[in-house]
Amino acid sequence: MSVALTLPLSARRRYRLRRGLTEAGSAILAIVLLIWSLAPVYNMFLIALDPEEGEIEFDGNLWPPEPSLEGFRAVVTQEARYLEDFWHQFGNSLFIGVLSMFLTVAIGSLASFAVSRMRLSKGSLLTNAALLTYAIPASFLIVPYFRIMHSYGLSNNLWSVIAAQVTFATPFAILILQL
Amino acid sequence: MQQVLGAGPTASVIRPPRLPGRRTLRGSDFRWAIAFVLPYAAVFFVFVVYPFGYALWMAHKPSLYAELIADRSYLPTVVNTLLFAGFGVNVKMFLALLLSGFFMRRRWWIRASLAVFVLPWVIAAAQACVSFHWMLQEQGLVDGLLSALFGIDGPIWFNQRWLALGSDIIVYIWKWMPFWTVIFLAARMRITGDIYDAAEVDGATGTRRFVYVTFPLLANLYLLCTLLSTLWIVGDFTTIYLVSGGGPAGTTDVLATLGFHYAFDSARPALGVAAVLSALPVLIPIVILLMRRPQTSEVEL
Repeated sequence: MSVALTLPLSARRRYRLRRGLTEAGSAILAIVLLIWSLAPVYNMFLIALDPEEGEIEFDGNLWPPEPSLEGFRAVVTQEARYLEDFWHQFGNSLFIGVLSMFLTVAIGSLASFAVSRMRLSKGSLLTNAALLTYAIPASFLIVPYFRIMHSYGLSNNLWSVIAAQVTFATPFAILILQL
Repeated sequence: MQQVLGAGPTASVIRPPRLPGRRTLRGSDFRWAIAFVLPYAAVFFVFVVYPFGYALWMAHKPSLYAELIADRSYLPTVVNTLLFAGFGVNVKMFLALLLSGFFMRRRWWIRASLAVFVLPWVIAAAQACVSFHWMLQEQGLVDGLLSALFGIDGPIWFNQRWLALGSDIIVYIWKWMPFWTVIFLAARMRITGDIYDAAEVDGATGTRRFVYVTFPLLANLYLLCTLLSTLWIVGDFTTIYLVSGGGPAGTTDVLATLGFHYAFDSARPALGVAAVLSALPVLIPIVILLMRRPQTSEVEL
């Protein structure tokens, strides 16, 4: 009788122990992942908030003793060296980002709609040609692009950057939209 | 990237059945289809075919390749590229696959940590790489913490080839693992519960469930992602250039950065293009594999 009573009890205890271990393991993994993901971001804040210019050493303080937003203020008011045109540059980034996104989605969705929904004959040829773009990774074409954009009259022009972004983002969009 | 989440995993499990007889488009439908394809065709010819042809033309002289082989920095660069791609892609993919299982757990704090975990993917690669470069520098965060917590003098990370290359690989994994984790997570979510229920009746739980049920269902997607990721990592320029900077003394250069150095630092554009094009014999087979996309519907348990 006593055996019959203790068995389920120990089984239950074992079950509870295993569950506890799983929970603890998950919690540890989650904490490790948080540290892993946030370390470089933390480092960036540490450096940005440090009042001393040019200071990237870790001096034992987990948080700068006198954090200052001076760095941010100098950037926003365009006083910092090399950042006299901060807002102009910010606008450039925004312009490139928004237009690349818009053009990629537009061109990619039109092409993959024609190929996969309208079943354009020989459509798979287009998808495969698009994938061929990745045989030559973007950085491999730096030099040819540099020259070709010049011959297209696009050097010193944001549109050349947008064109390059769209070129390398669209094949992925076409592939994904067809799945 | 929203499409990635929505559409990627569909492929791993279900694909809308193809109609038996292929309809041929007629009349205005056909014209519309052509009009829809035209913008991409234009982009393809103007920004892919022409530059690529131009690159081939720039690097067509065999003497350039002889010069490359003769360059003492070329072979180590090829080795670096292979190591960077091999470890970078495979470690990242495998960890992403495992982590996607972790994030499937129904706990609010696990879901919340996912939001933080995808942060590296959101941060621009260049900024993240610069931050890592600072962290790993002498008296940076990593060595500073090592000496503060354990009293160890950390190594000078960028002063030794393997340490520097290892740092590059870790940074690459940091940056791109979340993206693939999300892809795998979405694919796992598409696996319906009744498959697992049936497997449990047959006694597949825990590790066995992963090996015999989940992995076979994700295998094709895993292969597809690995191939695509390999193509991308070979062209990855940012990580090496900004984290180790190819240092010490160019011993951690990969083909992409070596080509850049030839072209812009040594003013030898043709040699630079030849250096990067020498990876084509490896890349083209991968593209061909990708083109014969594994039929994701033919998953068998």
